[in-house]
Amino acid sequence: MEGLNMSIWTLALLIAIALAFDFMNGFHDGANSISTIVATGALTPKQAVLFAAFFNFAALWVFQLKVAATIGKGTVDPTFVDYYVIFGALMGALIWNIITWYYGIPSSSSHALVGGLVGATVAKAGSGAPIVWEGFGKILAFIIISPLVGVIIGGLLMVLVAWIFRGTSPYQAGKFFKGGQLFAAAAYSLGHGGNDAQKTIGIIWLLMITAGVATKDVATLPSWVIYSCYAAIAWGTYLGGWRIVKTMGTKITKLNAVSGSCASMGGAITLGLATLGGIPVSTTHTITGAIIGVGAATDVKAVRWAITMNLMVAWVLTIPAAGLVAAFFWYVGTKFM
Amino acid sequence: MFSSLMPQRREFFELLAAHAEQVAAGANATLRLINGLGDGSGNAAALVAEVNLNEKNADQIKAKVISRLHQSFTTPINRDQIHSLVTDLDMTLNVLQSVANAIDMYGIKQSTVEAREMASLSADACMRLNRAVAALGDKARGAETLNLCKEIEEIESKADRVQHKAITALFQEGANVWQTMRMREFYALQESVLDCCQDAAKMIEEILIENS
Repeated sequence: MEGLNMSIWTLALLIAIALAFDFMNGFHDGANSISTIVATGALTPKQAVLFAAFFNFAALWVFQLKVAATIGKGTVDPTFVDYYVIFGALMGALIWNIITWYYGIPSSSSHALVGGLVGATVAKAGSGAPIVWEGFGKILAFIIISPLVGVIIGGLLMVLVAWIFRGTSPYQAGKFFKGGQLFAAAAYSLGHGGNDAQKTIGIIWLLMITAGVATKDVATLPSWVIYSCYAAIAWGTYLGGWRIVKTMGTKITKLNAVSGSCASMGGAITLGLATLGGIPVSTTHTITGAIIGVGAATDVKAVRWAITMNLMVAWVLTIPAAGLVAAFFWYVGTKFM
Repeated sequence: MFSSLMPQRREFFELLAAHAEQVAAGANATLRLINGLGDGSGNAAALVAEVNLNEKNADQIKAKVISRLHQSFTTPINRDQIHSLVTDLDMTLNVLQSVANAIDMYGIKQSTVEAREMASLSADACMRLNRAVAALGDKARGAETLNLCKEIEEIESKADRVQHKAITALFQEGANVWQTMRMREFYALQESVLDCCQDAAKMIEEILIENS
């Protein structure tokens, strides 16, 4: 990152925007972990958001600050990143998240941030030169691949469960799955808090290094940064993006305890496989893919394909749209900050 | 996509078809019973016993369907619809049994033209119901099944007109009051058979629409 002097007010503004994005990330993506448990009635909506928010925050004690140092790595040349670029990236991601939340679209907050970063960097460089195509191309390809894998694993899991429990009614099988569903939701929330809060911590850390108030030594990072990032994402999750929960839990397909559990497990397996393979995938895409998969296993007509197509269009649009907004705010930042 | 890999549980179609067969047999026995009233053949008791046996067999099939519903993770069609259809079929046979038993209970010694016509319409509707249920598991026969359901609804409308005509005839001046009372009840029971057939046909139509 270029070492630029930054006033304390600019730093404060950027930290506030970063925390706002973090809050919105929780508000927007909290649906990933709770939509299936709310739809199947395993927990009431209030219990579910409290449950997810708790595990979001609990990630603070589970994960080390590893992801925090990786922001922007592998998608753009870090030498092009300055605080105008970060301002543009955060605004692009934040605004795209607000738009998709309004329309109840489960899109990826991480992709919005990547799109914002790429958009603002390209605007600064005036060309696509700073894009690291190896990393960025992988992200683009997996917009298509990860939901497809989610569909296949979710669907196959549903088929497997149907054979294992063929002599049992769905209600009885559902009782068996309730615990598993809560476990999957807790794991999702923990992962979401751990990964996404750390992205914001990473951004704030970089800003503080640039402003000269912290160094690359993790010990210089004030603990309030860590606590406030985890608190912001947990608070966002607690307030709950109900529009998205509604889309994922009821609009794509009708979920019951068993299909809801299969969707959660299918999404988690896809995510786990991708993480093992070092592939950057969106949690939102994998869980949504798995929801479609379990719906298709029950009955192809049980999936509302028109809604599914809208989601896919939004997924494809996330990176360019967040990038465009980011480029605009990068320009605004260079003029007024 | 994945639905073809799921357990198919075709036995539900087989059980429904077996139940519908009992309904058709019961309607046929009731038709023979009503047509033979007063001809001195003395077959009435045997035919009532036949209808009762059909009803008993159908009850066992229905119990099997419900027990399977409790023990099946997947069903070839919506489980609520399977339950509704088997209940409609069972209700049809229950009412047929009531018609058969009413002959002795009401002391009906002679059938009327209208009673014979209603019995014939019931047998027609139940025969079509049997064919429609038998074809339910075969998606390629959807149009044929839908057509049978439409025919059942037409038969029901025809039965309504016959019942109307029969009641008008009963209440003509100078009619025997006891005869009027018992036959009015009897016609109402006969018409209920057709109403039950129509309910079953509507349920089949709903299943066909959902699975088309």
